[in-house]
Amino acid sequence: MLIEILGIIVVLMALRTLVAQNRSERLLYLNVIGFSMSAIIALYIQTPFGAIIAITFFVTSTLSSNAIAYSLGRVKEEIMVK
Amino acid sequence: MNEILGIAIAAVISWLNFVLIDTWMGLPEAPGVKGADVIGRSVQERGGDLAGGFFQGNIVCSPDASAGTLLAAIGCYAIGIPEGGLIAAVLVYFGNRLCADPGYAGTTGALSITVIIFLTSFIGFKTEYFIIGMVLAILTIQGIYHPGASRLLGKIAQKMGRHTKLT
Amino acid sequence: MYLDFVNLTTVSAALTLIGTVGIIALPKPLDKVIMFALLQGGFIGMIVAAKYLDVAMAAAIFDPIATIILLIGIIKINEVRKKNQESKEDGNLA
Repeated sequence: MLIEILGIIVVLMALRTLVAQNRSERLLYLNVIGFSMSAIIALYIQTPFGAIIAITFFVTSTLSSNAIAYSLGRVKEEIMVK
Repeated sequence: MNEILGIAIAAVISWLNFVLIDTWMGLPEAPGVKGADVIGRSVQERGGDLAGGFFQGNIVCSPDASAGTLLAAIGCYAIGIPEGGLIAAVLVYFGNRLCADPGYAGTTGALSITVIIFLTSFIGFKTEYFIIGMVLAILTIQGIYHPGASRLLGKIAQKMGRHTKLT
Repeated sequence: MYLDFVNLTTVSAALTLIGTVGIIALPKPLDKVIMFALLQGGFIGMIVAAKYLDVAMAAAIFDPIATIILLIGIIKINEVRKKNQESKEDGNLA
C-alpha cells in the first residue's frame, strides 16, 4: 500500500510540473518528485544496496536542482532565435 | 499500531523534526547557496514570506534536515536501526560539502531522527511509517500551496528569532 | 482494483512520458532542462524496476553531470547572443 500512495504523489506532482506557469514553482515540484522516487526505490528493493542507491540518487538529484536554480538566476530571460 | 494512525503520527513527528532543526540552524535567515535566492524571491513575488521562501529554496538546493531525516529513515529501514542512520549521516555530510554548503543541518537531522526511530520502535512504530511520513511532510511544505506554506514557515521563524533581515 | 496498476514500472513510464511531452511542447530552453530532469528520474525508476542495480548506480551518478554540462552550454550561448545583440544596437546607433 505504501508504494501506491507514493506513486500517486509522483504522478500528481509531475502533472503539476507540466502545467505550472512560474519556473521556480516547477523546481519545487521537482524536489518533491526527487524525495518520492528515492523513497519508492528504497521500499521496492529492500536490501542495503537499495538504500545506497536511493541515497545516491537523492543527493545527485539535489545537486542537479541546485545547478538549475543557479542557471535560472544567471540567465534572467533567454534570448531565443526566431 | 494501526497503519493509518501510525503514518499520520510519524508524519507529524518528521515535520516537527526537520522544521525545528532547520529553523534553529538558521535556514530562513539567508540563502545558503545562490539558487535558494532565486526561489525565495520568486515565492515573495507570488505573495509569500521571504524567510519562508529562503527556507524552501534551501530545501531544494542543498541537503538539509529534511534530506537527513528521509535518508536516515531509508538507512534504518534497509540496513538496521543504529547503523543505517549513521551511514546516512556520513553520506549527507558528503552531499553537503559537494553543494558547497558549510552547515551541519543535514547530519543533525539524520542523527536526531535515528534516535526517535529507535525509541518509537519499542511502541510498535515500523520504520516504513517514517519514510512515508517524511514524504507527506515535504508534500505539505513544497507541493500544495507555496505562498501559504512560506507564511507559516515565516511565522515559526519569527517566533524562534530567525527571521531574515534581507528584503 | 485500479490500484493494481500503480507499481514502480508504470509510475516510471508515466514520468518518462510526461517529461518527454514537456520537452517537446515547452518553448524556452530552461523549461526543457527542468523536464529533462523529470525524464532522468523516470529513467532511473525503470532501471531499478528491472533490478539492474549497478546500471542504476551509474545512471544516478552520470545523469546530473550531463545536466550540468547542458546548463553550462545554455549560459554560454545566452551570453554570446546578448553580446551580439548589444553590438548590433551599438552599430545601429553609430
